[in-house]
Amino acid sequence: MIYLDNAATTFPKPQAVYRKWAHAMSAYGANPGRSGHEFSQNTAEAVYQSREKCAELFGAEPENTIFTLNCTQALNFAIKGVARKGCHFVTSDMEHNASIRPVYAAVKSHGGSCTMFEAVEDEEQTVYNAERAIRPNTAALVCTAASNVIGLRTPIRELAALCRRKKICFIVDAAQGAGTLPITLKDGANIICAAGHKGLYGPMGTGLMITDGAYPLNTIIEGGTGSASESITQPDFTPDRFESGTINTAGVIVLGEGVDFVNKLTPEKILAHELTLCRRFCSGAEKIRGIRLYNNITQTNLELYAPVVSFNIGDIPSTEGAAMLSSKGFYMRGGLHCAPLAHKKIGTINGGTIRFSPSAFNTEREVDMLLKTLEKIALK
Amino acid sequence: MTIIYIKSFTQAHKAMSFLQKHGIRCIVERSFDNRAGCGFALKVTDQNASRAEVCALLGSIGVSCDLSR
Repeated sequence: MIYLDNAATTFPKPQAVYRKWAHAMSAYGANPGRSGHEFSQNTAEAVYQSREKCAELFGAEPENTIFTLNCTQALNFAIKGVARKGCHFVTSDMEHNASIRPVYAAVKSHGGSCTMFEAVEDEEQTVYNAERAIRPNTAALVCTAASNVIGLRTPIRELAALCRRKKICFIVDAAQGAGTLPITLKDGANIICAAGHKGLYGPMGTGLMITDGAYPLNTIIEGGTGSASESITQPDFTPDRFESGTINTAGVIVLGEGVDFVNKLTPEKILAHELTLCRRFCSGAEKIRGIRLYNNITQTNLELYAPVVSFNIGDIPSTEGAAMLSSKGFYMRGGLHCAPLAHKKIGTINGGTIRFSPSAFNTEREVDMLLKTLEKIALK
Repeated sequence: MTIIYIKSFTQAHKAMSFLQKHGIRCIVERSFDNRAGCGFALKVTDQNASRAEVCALLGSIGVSCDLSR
């Protein structure tokens, strides 16, 4: 098996993550922050240590680093939390459904509206397009750090500066960027939402909402937090405000191990390695007759892309193409990747694409093997 | 022994981690009373650390010593 579906979830995980998982299930089996016994306290301490590691990675305070079940839940907390009556949202035209669906739900329930701006390779033009979409009642700009379909990155720092100037909340969907791209609160985002199981190499069922605390957020889930229990209203302090109910305790402890792995290799080196693989793939694939690339990562445009490449094999529907590759041992995802906007943008809304997304564990040899297989399929 | 009451376990552990980095021994325990409800107590077991010193350190990381018991 050659796994190249890392934009969906990274696999394999580092060995230390597997070891920690086995250890965490038994060593940290009590409910953290609830009971006062030693077992619970030890578990709470392990959760805190992981929270501290995640906070440091994003330049945040531990109490503003909220564990969620995934990036989608974090985006729902952020988007619906900032929504107010009659508010307006701005998003890019390549957002994942994890962003666009909560935006539309928030707009519907608050009698608001949404404007999409076109994200392009020219970063200045992207910022200009975003600025034109902002209105006096805009509550937030919600933008992906990189498209999960074509890998196109958005100018996070420049968009953050724009949002600060306009005094609107900037919510970054870092599902495809956390662990590789330089995304921290220091770059000016107000809220960063990330998956724990993708570029941070943690287990599925983990995510993060990182905030700078500048924008008060309404809650969409309330419940027990193990704190301020005398009150029937939700705590106003974080992370408790957004962590009702028992968290995925083993998962978030193991996530800390994934973050250690990323820090050890460094996000810069992981990104460089994955982009090298994308470049190799694009360079080989564009020479194969019948292969169509929807984003071509080359030496000259590396800084514009996250390590994701979309392609198709002739007129074969993407899901069929992905199934053919699967039968040869190459695991990639075909279809719309829960991002219909991005597929509309590149003209593949009817058939989708096959997505090549490597991780720190993939090799050049694996890319060459995929190219040889594609050549054989395309020749038929 | 200095005891500081803190609302959330994250803040309590942040405080403990910070004090321990400064060589001050302390532990976190669950606390409860009829007025303040469930919370957490940071117990500073280090006899050499005064409450004023501890609170000044905690204030620098945004943890307040003022939560009433």
